[in-house]
Amino acid sequence: MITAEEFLTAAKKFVLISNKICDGWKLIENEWDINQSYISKETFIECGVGDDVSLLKAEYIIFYNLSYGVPSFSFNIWNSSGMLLSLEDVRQLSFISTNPKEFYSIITQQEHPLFQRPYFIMHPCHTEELLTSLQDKTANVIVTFLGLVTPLIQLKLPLEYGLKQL
Amino acid sequence: MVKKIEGLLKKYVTIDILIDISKSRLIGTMANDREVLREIWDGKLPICFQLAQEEIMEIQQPDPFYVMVPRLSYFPLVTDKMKRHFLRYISQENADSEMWLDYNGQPLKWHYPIGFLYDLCCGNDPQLPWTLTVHFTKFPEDILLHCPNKDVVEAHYMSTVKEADVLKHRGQVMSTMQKKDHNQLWLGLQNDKFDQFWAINRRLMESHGENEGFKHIPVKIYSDDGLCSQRLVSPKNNDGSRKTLQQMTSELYPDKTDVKLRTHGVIIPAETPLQWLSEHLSYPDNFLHLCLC
Amino acid sequence: MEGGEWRNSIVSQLQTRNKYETAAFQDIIAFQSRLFDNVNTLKNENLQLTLVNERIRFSGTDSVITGTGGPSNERIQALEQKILVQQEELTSLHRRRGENAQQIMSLNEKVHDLEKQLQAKDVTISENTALIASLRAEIQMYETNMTELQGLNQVLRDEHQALQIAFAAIEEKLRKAQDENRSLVERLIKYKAKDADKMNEENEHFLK
Repeated sequence: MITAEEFLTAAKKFVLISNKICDGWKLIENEWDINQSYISKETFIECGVGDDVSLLKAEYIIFYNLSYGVPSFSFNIWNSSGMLLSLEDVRQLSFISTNPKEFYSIITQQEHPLFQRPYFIMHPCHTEELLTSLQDKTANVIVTFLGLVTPLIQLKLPLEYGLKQL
Repeated sequence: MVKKIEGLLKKYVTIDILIDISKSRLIGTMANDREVLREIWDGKLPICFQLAQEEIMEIQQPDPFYVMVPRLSYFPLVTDKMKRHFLRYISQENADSEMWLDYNGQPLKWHYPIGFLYDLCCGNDPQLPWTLTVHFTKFPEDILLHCPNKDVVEAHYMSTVKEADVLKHRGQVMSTMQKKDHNQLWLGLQNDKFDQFWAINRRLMESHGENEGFKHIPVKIYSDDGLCSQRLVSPKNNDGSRKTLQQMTSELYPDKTDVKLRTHGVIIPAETPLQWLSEHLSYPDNFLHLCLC
Repeated sequence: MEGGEWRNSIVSQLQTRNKYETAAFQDIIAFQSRLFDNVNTLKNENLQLTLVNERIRFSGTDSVITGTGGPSNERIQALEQKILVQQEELTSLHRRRGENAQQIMSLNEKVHDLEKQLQAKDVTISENTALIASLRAEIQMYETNMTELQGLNQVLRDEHQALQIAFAAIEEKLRKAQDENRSLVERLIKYKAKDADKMNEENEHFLK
């Protein structure tokens, strides 16, 4: 478990690295309520092969989950006509193949605690377990956290994040 | 000595809630006010479903569909028959589309309990039967979660219960329960079986040890525009005394006076202890859902 | 169990809530639901029956066009036999119906005639009744006349009797008077004779 302050500190450090390598992450800090601070990134994903390539728009948000005391990963992906992708579409996109039941137990569509809008959110249970075991060994909890997330989502995590200094 | 008695008594916990009244002093607190639990459980609302005008493809207007629904349930669990009734009247190409509901133009979030939605929309101005409009097109995906089947409802429910348990007991009670207990919880809710449900839920309402209360109270407070900001709320004040509702509202809203909160259609008296409130007036998802009046 | 004003307030609010939200509507909606189910069941039955109807109606033409395999052929033949039997029954029933119709017509005529006769008799009866009535009236009249005449008769008889008695009395008186007259006349004759004698005597004296 980490505190909201620890999350914010890690988030700030993360965004600094992101700026250096132009990875597009932004920090939105809430002065009145620290629990509502988050980092977000908007990007495009190419999917398909050869002629059948389409462009998808993705929004990633990493926020602090108050109940579990861990970072949470949330995202939305829209296709070229502006429609939200379904959970099954997202599963098809993922880097590793998982069976539907497993995937659905980790990622579900929920009402976002900060924005009260539908987002796909990764379930904190797994995060908590894994992070607790890695907590002391990591320089930046968010980097570690993303490392757990990226196999499931088409999110490229540049190696630069892991460098001790840039 | 206490531990020994505790251990012995734990064997009888599953027998009868009433016997626990005396045990509650040894085990800690738990939801033992059966009268209140029962009154909460029995709440039902009369709903009138009407098909949206633009969906109607038949010449004949469909009759509105009336039904009593439990306040504690979720809309996707109680709308099968209604859906079958209205399917006949819509364009066939929409027959497999996802159904959604609105009240006064406002889409209804199916993942909120029905009674809570009613309090949020009409708490200050009761409208009975509650008239809702049924849609099969133009799903508002920027507002509503998708609900293709009942498994999604169960998954949402179980994850909320888990989150509540994390707040109350660091997740320990849920993790020591077996899958069949989780199932019994869901089935008890889905089939309106009070005893079946509470046989498991009481374990989530227990608090053991020196604490005599939950670590944090699982609570969501909504203003009437539907916005909710989460906070960590403890059932105890700094001096160790039981925190009342009033003490919580003055913590969370220091600028407001005379804050009134509604849940299950009742205004909660300011001196109500939060621990008791959480044990007895939580929804089946183990959260208190409160509306600012 | 915890007590306190707050618990009582919550419990009573819950009870009021259940009274207004649940108890007030439970029965009506349950009843409406039953009606709704009934309507749907009936609509479905209707639909089923309509479909069966259509199927039967069209299956008649179908069986002539298609000529499929063995088992269905047998079935078709069996059905055709059935149809023949039914048709014969139908024709005999038609004939019977014609005969019955004839019978009905003649019976109708008879009934008509009898009705006419009845009517005529009715007329006679009414005439007779009228006659009887007038005769009765006459009789009544005669009876009254008779009583009147009898009365008069009696009066005349009484008068007659009275006159007879008076007559008898007068006759008696006349007889008496006649007797008296006779005797008087006799007396008179006597006197007259006397007188004549006297006179004769005198005459004779004169002459002398």
